[in-house]
Amino acid sequence: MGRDKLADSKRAKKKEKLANKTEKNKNLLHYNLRLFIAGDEPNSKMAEKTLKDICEKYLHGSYKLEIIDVTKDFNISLEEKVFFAPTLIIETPEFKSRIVGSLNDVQKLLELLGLSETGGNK
Amino acid sequence: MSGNKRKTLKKTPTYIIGLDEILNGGLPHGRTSLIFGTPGNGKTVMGVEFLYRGAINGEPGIFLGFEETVKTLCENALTMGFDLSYLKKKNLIFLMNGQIEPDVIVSGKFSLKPLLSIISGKAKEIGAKRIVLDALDLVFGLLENPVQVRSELYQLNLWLMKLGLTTLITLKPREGYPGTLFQDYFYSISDCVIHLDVRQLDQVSTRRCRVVKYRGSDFGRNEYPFIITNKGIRLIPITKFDLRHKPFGERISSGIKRLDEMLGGGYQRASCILFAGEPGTGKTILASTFVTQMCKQNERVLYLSFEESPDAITHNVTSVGLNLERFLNSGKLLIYGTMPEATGVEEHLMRLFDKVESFSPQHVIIDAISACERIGGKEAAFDYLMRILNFLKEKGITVVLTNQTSGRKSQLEISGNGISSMVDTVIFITYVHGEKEVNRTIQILKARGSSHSNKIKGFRINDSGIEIYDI
Repeated sequence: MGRDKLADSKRAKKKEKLANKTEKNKNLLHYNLRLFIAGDEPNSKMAEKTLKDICEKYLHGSYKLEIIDVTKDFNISLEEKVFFAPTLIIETPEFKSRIVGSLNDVQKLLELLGLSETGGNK
Repeated sequence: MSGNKRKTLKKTPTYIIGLDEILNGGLPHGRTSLIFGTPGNGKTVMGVEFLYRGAINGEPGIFLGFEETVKTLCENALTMGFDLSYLKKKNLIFLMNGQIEPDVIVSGKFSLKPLLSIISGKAKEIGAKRIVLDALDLVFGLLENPVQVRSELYQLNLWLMKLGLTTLITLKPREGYPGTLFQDYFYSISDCVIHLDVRQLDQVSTRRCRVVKYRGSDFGRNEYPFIITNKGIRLIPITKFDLRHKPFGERISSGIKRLDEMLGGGYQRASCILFAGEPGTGKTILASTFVTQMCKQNERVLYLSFEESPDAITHNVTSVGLNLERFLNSGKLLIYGTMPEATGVEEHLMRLFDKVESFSPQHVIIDAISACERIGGKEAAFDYLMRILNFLKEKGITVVLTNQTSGRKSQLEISGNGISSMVDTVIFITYVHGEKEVNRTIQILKARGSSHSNKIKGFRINDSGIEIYDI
């Protein structure tokens, strides 16, 4: 029986942890991120790195990131009217926005993700 | 060393009426050209027509517009008879709407690689030979600084040249750049630069086109007025590279034996004859007599009247025994009446050119050139007449002009409107005030390439026509 109790408390702890996590994720929107890059152009590389860092640090798994190389298939850029690289398209249930450039301003990017006021939802 | 080392530049014809003439054959093949002008000057229309005419002549093209949507573009093009949707279905044209959303955020540097990839992808897909980048200033306006504008533009140009596309870029002047720096970058990558503008001239607006630069080629250096018609752009060079007037032909009768004698045998075919005189001296009757003579010989005459309606003309001359109506009915004569004020110089010109092309007359009467000033001032009248005369002379058409003079010093303004160099024969009719009566006299003031009488003769109009007698 003691084992059961232990297992129960473990389960409860896990549940609590899970609840905590969902609690956190409740505040966090689900981000659909698409980054259009042009091969290994420096600006594209820079944007990719910055974006990946931010996702890991602030988005806690509540995102989907897709990296699209425009030099491989022009049809996607045509469909999405992406003329510049890099271009980041952010889609959430609440808003959609588009950022062109190497994302050199991290603060600006956080703002655009709606994360700057709460100090990044840490 | 043998052979000619000089190589002429390969040209891509625009197929726009008049434009290829001043471009000496067309735009530079496989290179970049620029149309520059403020909004509303016809840049997009010129770009669309370049593509449309290319496509129907077997050269597919791409249109990338950063301002208009594809839908409005197609609708506007259709007003000129350009069915872009049809060409699109046939894969002869690719239209892309590249409107940049106003809320796009720029953060850091970027390149135009996706745009270039789209262009090459589509160019290969449809086998494009031509491309128009409409309102490209909107794209380059997003770049952070002039250095980037220059380098991206350079990349774009290299890319387009590699694809072998004949490129036409349209551009508006851009604010926020020192002086003309922004457009200077575009100029530097363009082998040919065309300026378009619209000007108000004596209350009539006139569109003008000017080639300001053309690397490696000669071009017409004047400003050329143009109009946008329901068939597209029409541009008529004022002064072409060379005058190709046909030489005068044989003598043709004026319809009056005594006048023919004074002229040394009649008018000369393909020459320009001017009748000058005060109101009521009989210029229209003199012209109608000639019309009758030519129509009787089964020749075709186009009568352009600025003062009277076709009905009024035919009715008035019946009083002197002339019956023009039968020639109207037999299709030998076409009378075209128009008000000078009705429209601008270009529209007037095009209407006349259209009439000449469709009716193909051997003789044209313009009654009266003094009314032409009402089209839009002295300058416009000169412009209009010079271009008409040039056009008709090239076709070997005889032109009769009437000009209404006024007052005693009328001899000074006889050939009016500064066109005297284009006029070959001048016939002057005037009143002579006697003690109890007023008589008319006729004299020949000028007859180029011909001997003529220097006598002043009496001139009378009675119910059987014109009579010339010795005095």
